[in-house]
Amino acid sequence: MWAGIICGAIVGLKYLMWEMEHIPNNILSKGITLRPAPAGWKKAQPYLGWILLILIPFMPAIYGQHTKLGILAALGLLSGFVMHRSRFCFAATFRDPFMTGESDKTQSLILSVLIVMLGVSIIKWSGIVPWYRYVFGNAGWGGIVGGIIFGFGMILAGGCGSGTLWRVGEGQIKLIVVMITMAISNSLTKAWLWPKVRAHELSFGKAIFLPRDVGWVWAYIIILGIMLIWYLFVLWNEETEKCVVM
Amino acid sequence: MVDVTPDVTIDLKGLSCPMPAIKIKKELKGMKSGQVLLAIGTDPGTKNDLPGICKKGGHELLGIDEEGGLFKYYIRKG
Repeated sequence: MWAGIICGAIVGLKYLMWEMEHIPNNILSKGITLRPAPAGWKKAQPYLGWILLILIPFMPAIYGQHTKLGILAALGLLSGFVMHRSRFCFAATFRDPFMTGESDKTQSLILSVLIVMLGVSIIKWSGIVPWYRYVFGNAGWGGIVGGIIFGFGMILAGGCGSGTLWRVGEGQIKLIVVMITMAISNSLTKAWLWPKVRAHELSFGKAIFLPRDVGWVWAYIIILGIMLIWYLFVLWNEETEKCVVM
Repeated sequence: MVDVTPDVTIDLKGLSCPMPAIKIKKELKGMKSGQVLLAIGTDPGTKNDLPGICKKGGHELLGIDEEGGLFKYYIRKG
């Protein structure tokens, strides 16, 4: 899927360059006038932000008997705050090396993969969570084709899952449309495709959990190896700009 | 207020990430060293992308004016 996303991102960038040459940027917004937000809203925003931040530790209590939802709400608010302030965007991590040559966002993604690898190791090796949790059968053509489609789409949309959500919080209209489309398409996919996959009528690939299939040592070697190759590639590309499509 | 007369002006109104960055980079590529580009847009995210684009390309971000939802970016090509 990772390889598919990279391919999709490159094709998406090339399409955007073609669109820039051939389609005027205001073709859909002709005649629409922007109205600035009311003056009082800008003054109120920092205070509303502080109120939300202060509420975070009280979320479990606010949710009453649904403590788990409260904890998830608190974590969600914190994650959204950090992602928004750092403008972290998965789409940019795949796009920037080929658009401007910059590798800093890709490096942060590589670091986050390593952190997730450690976290998942702890909870699955210790048995807190069964090995098959969040392991999908897409190690095959489904993962590659899905990655290409998603990579292409996220470049055009201007955001992936997390990037879309914090941009919606920021008030970007385009990403509100993206969020609604993602919700509808995800739901339709789950409702239509997943029952066929469970009934073995359709297969996108194998469900592979590396520690189970090749052992924990080889799992670490493979993941660390791929991340190292990716890291060295983006550093080399930043220096030489050989793979920059613009 | 940035007090510089631009040599080239581009319209980025209505465009959002990554289009403003792509257009700015493309325009700067075709300009002569020392010329000033004025890019007028509505995407607040471009403010964060520009320092990286300028640093990478050796350009100078002269300043950003903001009025009524419009952002005006003045960039001198390196």
